[in-house]
Amino acid sequence: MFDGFVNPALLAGTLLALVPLAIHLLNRQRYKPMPWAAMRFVLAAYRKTRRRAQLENLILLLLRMAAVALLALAIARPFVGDQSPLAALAQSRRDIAIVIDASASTGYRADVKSSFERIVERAREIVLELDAARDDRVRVIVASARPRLVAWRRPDEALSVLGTLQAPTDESLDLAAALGEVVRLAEEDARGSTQSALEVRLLTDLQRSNFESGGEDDGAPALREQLEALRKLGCRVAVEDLGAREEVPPNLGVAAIEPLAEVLGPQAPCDVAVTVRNFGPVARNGVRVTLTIDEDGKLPYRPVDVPAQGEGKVVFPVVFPTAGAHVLSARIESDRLATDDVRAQVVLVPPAVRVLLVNGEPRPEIEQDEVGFLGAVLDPPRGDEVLAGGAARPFEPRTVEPHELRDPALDLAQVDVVVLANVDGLAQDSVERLERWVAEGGALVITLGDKVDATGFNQRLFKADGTGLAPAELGGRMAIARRDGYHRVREFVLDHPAFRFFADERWRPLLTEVPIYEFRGARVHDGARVLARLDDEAASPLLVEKSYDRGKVFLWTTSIDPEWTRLPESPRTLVPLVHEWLRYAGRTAVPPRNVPVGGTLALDVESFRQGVELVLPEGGRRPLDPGEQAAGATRRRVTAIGATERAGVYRIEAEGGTSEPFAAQLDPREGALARISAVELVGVHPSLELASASETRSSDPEESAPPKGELWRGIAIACFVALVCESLWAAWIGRSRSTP
Amino acid sequence: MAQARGDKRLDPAVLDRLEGLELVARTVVEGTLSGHHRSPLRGSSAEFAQHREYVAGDELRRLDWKVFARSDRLVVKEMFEETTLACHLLVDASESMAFGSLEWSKFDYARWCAAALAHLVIGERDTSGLVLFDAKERVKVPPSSGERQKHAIWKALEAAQPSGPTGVGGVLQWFAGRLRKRGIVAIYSDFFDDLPSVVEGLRRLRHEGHEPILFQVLDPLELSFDIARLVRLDGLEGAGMLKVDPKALRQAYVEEITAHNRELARHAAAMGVDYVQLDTSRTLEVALTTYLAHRKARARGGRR
Repeated sequence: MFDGFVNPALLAGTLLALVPLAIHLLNRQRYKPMPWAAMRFVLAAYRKTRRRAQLENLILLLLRMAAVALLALAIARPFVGDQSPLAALAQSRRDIAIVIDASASTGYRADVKSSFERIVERAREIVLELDAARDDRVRVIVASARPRLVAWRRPDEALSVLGTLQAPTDESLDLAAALGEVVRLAEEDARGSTQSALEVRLLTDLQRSNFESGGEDDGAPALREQLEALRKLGCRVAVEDLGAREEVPPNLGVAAIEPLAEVLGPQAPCDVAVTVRNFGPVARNGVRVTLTIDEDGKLPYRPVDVPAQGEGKVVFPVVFPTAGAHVLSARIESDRLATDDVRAQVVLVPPAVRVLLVNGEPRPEIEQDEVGFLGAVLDPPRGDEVLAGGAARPFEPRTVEPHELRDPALDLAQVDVVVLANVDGLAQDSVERLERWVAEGGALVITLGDKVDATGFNQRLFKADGTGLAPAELGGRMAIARRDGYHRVREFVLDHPAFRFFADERWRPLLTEVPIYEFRGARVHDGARVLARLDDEAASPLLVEKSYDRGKVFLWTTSIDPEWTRLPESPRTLVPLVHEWLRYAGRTAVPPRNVPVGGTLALDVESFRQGVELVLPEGGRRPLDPGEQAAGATRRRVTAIGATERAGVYRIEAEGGTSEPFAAQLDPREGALARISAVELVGVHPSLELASASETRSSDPEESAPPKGELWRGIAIACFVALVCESLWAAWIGRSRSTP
Repeated sequence: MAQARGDKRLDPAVLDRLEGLELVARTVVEGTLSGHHRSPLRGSSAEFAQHREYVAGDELRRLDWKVFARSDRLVVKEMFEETTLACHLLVDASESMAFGSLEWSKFDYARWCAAALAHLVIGERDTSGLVLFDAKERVKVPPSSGERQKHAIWKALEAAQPSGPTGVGGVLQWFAGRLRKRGIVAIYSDFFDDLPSVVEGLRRLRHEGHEPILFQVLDPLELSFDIARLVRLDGLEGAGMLKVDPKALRQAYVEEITAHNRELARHAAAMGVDYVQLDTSRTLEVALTTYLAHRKARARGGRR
């Protein structure tokens, strides 16, 4: 009789219709015994009136049961389809889910109105067709990277929400997620039956990338899954095209900004390449590209020719004046989709790595000094470009003797890397000091030599449970007489930053052919990683790395001076090795400065900084949670989750002058406005159908879900009638029985 | 509750509190005879029959001086012969008479009436007898007069307890053939019996020359059936049990009992038998005044 119920669980209330019956039966137990003499007259009267009294009571009972049952049924809200014999009594209402494509591509302005404005306008038209008096319902879902259900009941509520939608987001469209929300709504709607009468309207610009199928990495399988779920619920998705007329609308966008130099440094020239992508069908020549550094350093524009459906690069010479974060902003002439015509990129120009060389065997001669060659590489004499590794001076070395580590005046917070070069007999307090410093992000490099006593080393620096600084336990010295040969590097981790230079096969022999005459064996801790091994029988480790809290520790099992190896005497080996290695060691992992729109921003600040705020691209400010500080740490991490709704430059500022930039970047693929055709659309899934604005239902009535008419009003009226009849009947019985 | 009219001594609620049937009887009689009622038996209760010539020895008070004044004739009045009236009290002591919605039962009411009547009758030097019955005679006090008789009647009434099935009609029929002396037969019963049987009994009494008076003693609840809640009626005299909604049954029940009583009254009227319905909530006055009317008629030599 009914196709289902809106509130099927409340249907159990119809069992309450048995209550009047139960009361009636219980009342039969409550007869007061009474002796009676004139029984013959009672019996005669009983015989005369029995049937009538029974009928009266039965009618009364049935009316009461009916009233209760009808009330429960009305509350359960049954509904019927068109084919039901009760359809004439049903009151059909419309349930619509409107999915509004609010991705960045809908900002395309083909004429006076952008696609998004047309979408919102169309949504208003649909809502205005609804009738709140008929209990029509509308759900508005604003779809972008994350769907948002902004209205879920009355048409007037939806209209007021639509009035607040002024511009699209800067995000891409996750259509599968948006339809997932629709599936949830349809499942709620279909409660009690397998079919939903929810009408689904997708108002979009038909951007191909939103519907494309492809490999497993894209969202298409998830999209088909949601569409299939809707199909099973009897829902079709009417897709309304409110985008540009062209199949491939013309559009240029800034796709990327990237520094080309491998090593960035203050005052070091660096080329920055700006990639411009042409998503249109026609090549564009002479596109003017401008690049601005830190908002006030605007470089002269450079033209670029960009082929159709291709990209062009233009290179700008840039010099970053200082170390730190710098904002590069590239812009092209505005076109019909303005949001991808500008792009920001934050570049972190690292300061010089501050290296503290703890000289375990100081000597006046550079060749004999433990850190002589090392110091020369890190701080070459002026003019020695080879040793310097270029014009920039990426390191600030300083040499101390081991006992100076105990000096409180030595501030390790001003040091990025400490090299213990052939150091023996570190005092315990020095060890503890180093442990604290490494835990907070410092990098410790330990090189060996004849001064290092394995026992003392293992006692102070190595712990079996991994809590010690050393990544390995030292073993015995392994030496080869020079006349008898030497060891070489047999293998190393090619993709490790320390060996990036030697990953190139051309330069690999510079590392692998360097003689190593002596080293110490080492038993590597489970938590450490061997970066290079020697060619002895045991494949002994040469370089071992271990993470220690937020810092790193390296163990070099030979010397850094020529005493045990000829590596220091080979500048073509030592320079790239030390530069890459110590640059890597001195680099602290920092949260990314460039995030996609919607991404999370994070910054480590000193614990004492107060009043941390997020500055939005348009100038607004938002206070940020101070964040958690680990015990003993001097810094804490501040985060801004989900605050990057717009593309542009954000800043995290704190009292004391801290102002760190971040860039929220538009997905360049949003500029690809190529549209999917109607045929291709249906090919994605049969549930999709391209509908014009004038169509309201599927042209195939057999396939469209039948409208759902609710019967609760009629049932409620019937309940009311039953109650009135019950009252009147009870009154009539009472009156007829009270007059003898 | 009792509806006392006039003399409060006749209020059954008052009578119920009196100790002893003698006191009740005296109270009822005095209450009945005081005020509105004078004993019709005081003075000459004889009725003039004819004149005859005075002969020596006739009582001088019988001379009709008016006739002498007119005609100088000495004549005496002759009256109808005064006979001693016999009043037979038949009291139904079946179980149905034990019913009472008030503090007293129908039987209590009936025996008050009977006791009072006995007191009145014997006080007027008539004879009275008592028969207590259910389906058959149970206790009998043969008719006689005098204080001793009165006390015997009262004693029998006081000792009786209503029990057993009803059989009014059968008892009347049986009784009709056994009464030697004609007289008034006052029958106190609820008459919850087959009417034909009762009517036959009455007919036989009449045939034997008796004057039955039917005193139907009914409880007010039996008349109204005004019971508010659901009840399980346990019939007395083994009449069964029935759960009823009195409100649903009331109208039909009242019709039934009214029809029964009306039929009884009709039959009684057709036979010239007085029928008096005694509501146990009302005063006992009517019980005696009816007898007194009969007695007066009898004294005149006629019948009512």
